[in-house]
Amino acid sequence: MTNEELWQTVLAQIQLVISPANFATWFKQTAIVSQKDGEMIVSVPNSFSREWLKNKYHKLITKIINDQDNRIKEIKYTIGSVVQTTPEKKTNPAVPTTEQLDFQELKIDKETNLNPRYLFDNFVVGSFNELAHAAATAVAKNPGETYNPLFIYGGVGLGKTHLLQAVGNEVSRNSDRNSDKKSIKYLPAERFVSEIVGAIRNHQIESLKTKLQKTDILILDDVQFLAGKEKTQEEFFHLFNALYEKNKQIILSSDRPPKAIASLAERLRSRFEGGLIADISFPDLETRMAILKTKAVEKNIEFNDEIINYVAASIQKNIRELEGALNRLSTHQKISGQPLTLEIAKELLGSLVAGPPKISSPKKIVQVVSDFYDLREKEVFGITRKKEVVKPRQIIMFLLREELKYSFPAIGRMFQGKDHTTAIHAFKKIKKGVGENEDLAEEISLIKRKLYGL
Amino acid sequence: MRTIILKENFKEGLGAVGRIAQKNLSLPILNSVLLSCEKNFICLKATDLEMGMKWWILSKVEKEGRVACSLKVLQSLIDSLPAEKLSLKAEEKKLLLEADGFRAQINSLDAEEFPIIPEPEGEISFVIKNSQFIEGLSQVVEMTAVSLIKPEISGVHFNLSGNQFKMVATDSFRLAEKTISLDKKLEKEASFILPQRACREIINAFGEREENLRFYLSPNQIVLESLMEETPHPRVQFFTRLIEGEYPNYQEIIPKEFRFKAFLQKNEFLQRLKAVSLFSNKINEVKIKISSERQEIELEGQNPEVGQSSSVFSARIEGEKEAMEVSFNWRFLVDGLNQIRDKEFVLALSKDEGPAVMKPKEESGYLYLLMPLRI
Repeated sequence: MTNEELWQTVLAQIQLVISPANFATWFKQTAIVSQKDGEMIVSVPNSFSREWLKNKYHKLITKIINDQDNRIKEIKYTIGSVVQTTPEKKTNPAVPTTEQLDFQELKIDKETNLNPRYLFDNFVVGSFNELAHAAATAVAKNPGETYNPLFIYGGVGLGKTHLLQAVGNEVSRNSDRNSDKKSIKYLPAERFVSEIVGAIRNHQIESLKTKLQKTDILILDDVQFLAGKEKTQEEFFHLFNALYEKNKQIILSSDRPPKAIASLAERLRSRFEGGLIADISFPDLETRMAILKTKAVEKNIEFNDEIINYVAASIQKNIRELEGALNRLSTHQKISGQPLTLEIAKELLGSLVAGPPKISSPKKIVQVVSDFYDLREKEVFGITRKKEVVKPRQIIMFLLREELKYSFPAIGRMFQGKDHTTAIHAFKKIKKGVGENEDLAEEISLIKRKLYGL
Repeated sequence: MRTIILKENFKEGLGAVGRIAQKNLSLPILNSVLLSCEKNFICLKATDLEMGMKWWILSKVEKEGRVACSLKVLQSLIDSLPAEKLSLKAEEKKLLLEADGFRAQINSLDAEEFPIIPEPEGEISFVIKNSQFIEGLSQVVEMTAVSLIKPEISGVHFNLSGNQFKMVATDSFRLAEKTISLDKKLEKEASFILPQRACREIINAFGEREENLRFYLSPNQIVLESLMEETPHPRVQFFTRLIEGEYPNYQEIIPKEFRFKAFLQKNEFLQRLKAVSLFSNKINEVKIKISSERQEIELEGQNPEVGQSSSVFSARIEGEKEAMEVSFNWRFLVDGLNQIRDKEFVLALSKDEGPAVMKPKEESGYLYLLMPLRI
């Protein structure tokens, strides 16, 4: 007789001798968990049931069990975990649902660092992210087998993190279903760096390494933050190899392709390029409209097409901003209780749509460019002709001319009184390079985006 | 069972255990209080099967014994008696109460049917000064989540480590943390979550007495105990189950850098906030505008149906040059302010859509975090 059947016998007999209320109170969620060497362990949901069974029904239970199986000499009661009954749905009446922001961090799974909000189901696919999405779904289906590593890059607020976490969540859901537990770890690169630094300081680097090497799927977000951090890069290189050899999936994201990440060790760069590189570009108008409509349905709010059209047409380069605009409109509509008109929408989104005015200064250009190539600002103005300094220097000159319309002699003067022909040469060289070399064009567009805070 | 007891003492005990006994239709015994006389004490017990309380009163016991009877009847009866002393006597299915010429026979229930409230297990886990503990707990207890969808945050989280004792509650919109420094370091670390209702009853039962509170922690339950002043016998034992699960890593939420810090008078701020809040809209929005250049704070409430109001006042403000605007649910602001015991407090604002922090100006281990409204 199985434990289950044996306990069913007990329950069947006991319910005849005690009142239904008592039976429901003391015997719900009880079961035999084990029996060994004449000792039987019964699990109960709480201390009250344990005391009650031990003190009031122990004799009765022992008798019924011994009638079935006289090898049992001793019965012990232990508090087991309780099966959660469906929780009551109560909400705090003082909390407005959509407008009140909450601590996102509390939703994050402690084990994996994943936010359950990011799923494939709520990821809008368009031509701009088709490839990345297809690659991500393929990886989620067969982690470690299809594309390893998967490298996704694209601008700010276009859904990289969403896609990365969706892979993690999908794999975790599948592994729960098939009950083969996969260890998933999502780490923003910044956090990875600080964990490495912390571990080095506390002399726990070995234990951190062993811990990370046990992951089945490692997701590292914003790897461009590894630039210039040599020790972290080295540790990551070893971790990468260890995982890759064991066919563990590695997923990476960055705001630029591996080639354009300055100060990245060559051996890491080549490894990043060893799998599949997929980019996410800007969504087209139709996709932006589709995204707005999906989000509006999620928020349970309706806008007329005119407004959707207006929002989609005016915010072009950032999905997060698109969502922000939608939030602003929906809040207004809810508070005023009236459907929005195009005029009001225009007024509400005025500041968002116009965006930050395109202001730049020579100082900012120098700062952004040297930051991008991981140089010190002083180096740029130096006299060295090292290749890794010359190119950024020329880009600065190019931007000073193109963005600020500085005169060539003025640009020359900024660089230790160089001749205006040097500035002209730099400008022409970069301008030509942008036309011919796709990587350079991408770098310039990234720098510009940073310059204007897009 | 036969005993003589002082009415005031009996009343106090019934009041405390009475809050635990809940109306329960399937198991009527849970609506009752168990009186049991042992040696020189009468012990009152009540439970709802999630928590339980035992309350001892010194009394002249003439005969030991136990009886269970309806708490409601007993409580209302005691309230209406003028006598100082009561005599209680258990008879077959009856409790006899006599006081100064007054006699009552109350139908009783079978004491054997009364659930057994678990005893403390093992050694004392740690000891904390009662008044300190209760004050801290009452500063955080109201911030737990109402919904049980995430059971971990429906209770108060306690964490002991070194000489720090932390209590935390959050409903994911705001978070309150109280840190108590202990006189001596604890040997063991401990971390557990108690249901909100249990915490409220603890505050009620142990009050602001000065004595020490003893904790007996085991894997599924905790027992809190305080002793009598007169004699080393337990005065109250409170038992509750723990909430299973791991408390979220809340430390990461607490911002480390701020855009603005305003040093404010609590009462003035509260008064102005309440006035402006009369004009707040459906989502309880009050807008705070802060400018360090002008050393000024403005509160604004706006409601299309009622009207608009604003309140400007000067304050010491440290922070960025550019002014900042942010909206909050004013009820949440008030909730936090009410827990600040100091006259002055600091309001610190972090990035857009990031949490604001309120804390007393003088360091007291209290911290209140609040998320803004998305406008």
